[in-house]
Amino acid sequence: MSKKFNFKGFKLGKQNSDKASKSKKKKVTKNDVRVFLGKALRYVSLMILTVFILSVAYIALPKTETIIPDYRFDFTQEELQENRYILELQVKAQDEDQLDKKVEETKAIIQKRLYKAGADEVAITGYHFDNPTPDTDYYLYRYIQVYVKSNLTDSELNELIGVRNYLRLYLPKDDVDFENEENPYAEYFIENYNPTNVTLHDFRNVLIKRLPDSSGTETYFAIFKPKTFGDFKAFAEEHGGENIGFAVDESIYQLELPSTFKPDYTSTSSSSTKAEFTIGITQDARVAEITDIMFNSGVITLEYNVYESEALGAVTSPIKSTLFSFTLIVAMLLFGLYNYFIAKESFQTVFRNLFEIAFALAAVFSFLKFWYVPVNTTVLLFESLAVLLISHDFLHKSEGRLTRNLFIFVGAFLIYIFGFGYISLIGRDIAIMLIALSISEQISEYYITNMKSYLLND
Amino acid sequence: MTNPLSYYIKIYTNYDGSQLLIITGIILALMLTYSYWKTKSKELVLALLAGFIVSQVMFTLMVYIISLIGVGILPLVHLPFTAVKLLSLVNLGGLVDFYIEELAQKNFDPDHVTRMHFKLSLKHGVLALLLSVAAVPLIETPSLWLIIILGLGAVITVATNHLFARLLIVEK
Repeated sequence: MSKKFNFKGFKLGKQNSDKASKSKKKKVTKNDVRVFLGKALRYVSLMILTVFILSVAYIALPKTETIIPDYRFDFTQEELQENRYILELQVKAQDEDQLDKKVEETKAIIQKRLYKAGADEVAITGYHFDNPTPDTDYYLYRYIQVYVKSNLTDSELNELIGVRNYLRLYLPKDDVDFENEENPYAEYFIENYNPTNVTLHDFRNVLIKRLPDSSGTETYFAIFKPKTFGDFKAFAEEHGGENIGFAVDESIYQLELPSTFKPDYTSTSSSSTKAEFTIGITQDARVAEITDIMFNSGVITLEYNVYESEALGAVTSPIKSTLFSFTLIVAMLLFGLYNYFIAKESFQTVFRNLFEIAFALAAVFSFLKFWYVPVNTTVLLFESLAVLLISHDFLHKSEGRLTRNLFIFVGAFLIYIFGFGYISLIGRDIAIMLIALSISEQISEYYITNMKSYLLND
Repeated sequence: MTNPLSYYIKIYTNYDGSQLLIITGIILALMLTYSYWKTKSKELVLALLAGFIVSQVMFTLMVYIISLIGVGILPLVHLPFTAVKLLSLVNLGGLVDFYIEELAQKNFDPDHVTRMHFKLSLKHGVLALLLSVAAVPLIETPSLWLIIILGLGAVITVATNHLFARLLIVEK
């Protein structure tokens, strides 16, 4: 051990070797060991980092299978289904002056439903047939085309787009015998009921909640929260404890309106939370989610039906891995050239910034590729360019840096929380990329500084 | 066919629009509160407010004009919109930074603040165009238009931000 630290002793003459050896032995202190261990650890950490950086670069870059043929890393492209629906809307002739408004409202509600359910792209436009259904004295017919790109199942799409979901409460007709054993389905025919004025308009929202039912099984319930000044208040006061018809579009069934409505609604207090109108819906979480969307996305005031529907097949982003990487590398080179020639930054700063950005993006791409996370490369390219655009300010060391970066994070986080579809996705991804950039900045600083000192034998 | 202007205005007034309005509102509330708390400057707060909102309107008009030349309605128009909003946030954050730094000086010079902000805005504008140029020849038409919208939107946004900074802070 001492010989290893005695290298300076070789410079001494033979006559002094014993003396030198003694003096050197004395100099092997704990501090020397600490320095040696520190250097050894630094070399090891640099080696590990180098291997890590090379691995990340290998995974992130395209066509690397030409170097090591056994391992191929490509983006797992997100596969979305494209569907097209044509809806025939029926507008009452007496509402002709409100035709455009009602059509636009319908389009907005369908769009809202689809985005809430997780559709990636929705485009709803007017549609013109050569031979449409002719207008009559009672109804005008208009058509809209719904184009949707999503991962939703066909049954979910059919419900979200094709079902109006118009709720109305009915009262059983007095002359119909619902107890008649010869006609057990009497309660399921809408003709056996008289319509009331109470519709979905009279409820401010429908809360979907998981609660234990009478058998103790967890079931999702729809809790209808009535408006303070809606028709439901008077209806509940009059018919509490009676059987009523509960109809969504053309399907109807009977249920008993709780009698507890009366005391709650006649109470002078403004609280009416206990007088909510509750029905059990399902035990399936996804069905409950779709029901929630259907009830809480607005009321479609027009009657309509699906005139035509077509599955257009699966689509992926047209931007392949090679094109994606090439575009990004060109953008980064331009970014570097701008900073060097126009912003007059030193070569060291430009190199360091580019290294930090490249390392951060490569680490994110490697993660996505290694764990086969499905991505849309068009969106990913967009996010990477946006991060590149704001990275200069993000990495720029100045007094207000912490505040500025905090604002960017908060902005991206808010977009993630309150956004929908791709907007939420962008907010989340940009926030992740910026976190990766912050970590990359620390690692790169350590790596470049130590590697430089190692290479220059400092 | 749906009027493209009404479609883009819907981005701000429908379901998706209401979400964007919430995001914009919260970001603005945080930014304005912080700026006023740090600087006590109504001019700065007004400049931030006007810059953020007017640039959003300008973006909508720009997309409308592009749709008039036959591009049609772009379902992914939210992508450049979000990216440009984040850039606008960075740009206005820079303005607040310069203002706070200038306040710490002995002689407060608003002209110096806007000169620094001009430099920053120029950098953002040029960088946005450069990055758009990098992507233009490489990708297929629909995405190409999104990249063009990103570049132009970024330039218009930073220009609007600077215009209001100059107008409300220096030329008051």
